[in-house]
Amino acid sequence: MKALIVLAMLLMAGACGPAMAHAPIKGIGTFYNGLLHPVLVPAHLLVLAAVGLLIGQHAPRVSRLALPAFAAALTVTLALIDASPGALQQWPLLAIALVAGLAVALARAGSLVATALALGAGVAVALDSAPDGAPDEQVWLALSGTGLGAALVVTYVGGFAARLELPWQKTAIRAAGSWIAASALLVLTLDLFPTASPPA
Amino acid sequence: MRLLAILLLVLFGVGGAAAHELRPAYLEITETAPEQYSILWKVPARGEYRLSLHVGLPDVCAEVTTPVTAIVEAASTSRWNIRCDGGLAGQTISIDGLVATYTDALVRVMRADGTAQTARLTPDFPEVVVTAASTAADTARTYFLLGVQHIMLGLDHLLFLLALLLLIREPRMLVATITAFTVAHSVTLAFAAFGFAAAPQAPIEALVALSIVFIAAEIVRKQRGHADIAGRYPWLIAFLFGLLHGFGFGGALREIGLPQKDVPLALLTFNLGVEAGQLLFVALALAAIASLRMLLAFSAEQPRLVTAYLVGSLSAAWFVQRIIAFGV
Repeated sequence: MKALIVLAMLLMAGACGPAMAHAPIKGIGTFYNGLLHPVLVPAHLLVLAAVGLLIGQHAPRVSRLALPAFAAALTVTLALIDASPGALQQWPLLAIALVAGLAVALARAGSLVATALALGAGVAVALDSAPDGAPDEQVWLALSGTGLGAALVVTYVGGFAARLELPWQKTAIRAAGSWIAASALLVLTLDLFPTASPPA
Repeated sequence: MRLLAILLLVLFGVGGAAAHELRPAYLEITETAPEQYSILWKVPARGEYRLSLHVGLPDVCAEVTTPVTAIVEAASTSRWNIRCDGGLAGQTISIDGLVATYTDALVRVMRADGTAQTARLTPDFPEVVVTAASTAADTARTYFLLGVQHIMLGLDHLLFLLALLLLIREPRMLVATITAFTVAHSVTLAFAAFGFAAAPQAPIEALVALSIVFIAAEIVRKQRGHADIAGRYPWLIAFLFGLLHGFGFGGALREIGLPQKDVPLALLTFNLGVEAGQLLFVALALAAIASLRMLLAFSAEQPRLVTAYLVGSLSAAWFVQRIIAFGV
């Protein structure tokens, strides 16, 4: 487990790249801009929805461990980037969304795999959440908002998925997982092999 | 070569000083008659040097008088009159050259009916669209959003609501309690806004913090099996503290300022905005609590106690901080 976490951290660190700008919404304040950040960045929303579905699909067996792990990874990494801001490329987020989406579609995930994915998602989302344009003294406020927003998305999606118990509802969750995996794969391919995209 | 270097240094030195001017420019446009306007334009200046900022007026406008410029108190001040066919409503005014500076420009358009529009233009957004005199619908929308914004940015009010959610377990009692809170703060908000009653803002803010400490303590007491008045009649406590919170909202509304007209409408929509924000928060909090129960399959008792202690500690710190702030 430790080796897996170390490997994930190394992959994330290796993937650090230039910051991507996410334009703030005027008039709602730094905290709420941070809160909405995970919802407004498609790659974040995709990975958070995938992890939420995964832990909700196997709740409470998997979610008891995976949700606190996600929250802890998110909080620690946000605290670290408050001290030393950086940014992540898109592919680690998409890769985690792809694997989590596939796990949801297959409806097979052990606690260990789900927890590892939740940890990776927490770290990846936090690493890519350095706020653009926020004054230095308010960065912590934006990051607090982002932490709460990301945790709420996973909690809501997970809680919703956990309530769905009828066979057709379980099938709908798996279909949602496959859509997430397909979307992540598509964007990941275009991201990693930009020349493969057709000319405009 | 050395001379060239000195020359470059001097040139860049002057340019740098001008580029880092932080005082805002000021543009005041006053409607003197239909389609007629007088303009006051102030640009920060140092000696004879002024920032290269210019007013960009729409094409429908033409100068009626030539600008008269004077350097007064470190500002270049110009005055002139213009005529705009069809008026300025809906037209865009820009400050040319603002994007190359670090400064802002304040724009104030004063209409003939006494209402005004004020905007702060920045290097990122160097233009403003002049609006027509605001309608009742504009006032309602503006104050509704201000109400939502106020409750959503008021962490102490939100924590009070969260504490109520943790204290009350029966849905019917929860609805009654939140309704009592709403009625109470609506009453004092109206009284404060119309000037029928007033309370100094600093002690009110301190008491708002104390009200949260009280509810947090009640949660702990209830958990230990002591059912006090707050446990039996939470709606009564919520009503009494709601009166306090209403004075807090009234103070915020006084700071924002009421419009020159449609005052009751502004007050009503501000209050509705507060209610909408409050309901949104309650819905999100209840959904989060229900989701966490599903995912973690915990008994609610321990987390409720931990949250009560966290909320109570934070509010106690606010109380002390606010007491110190007004020097008691």
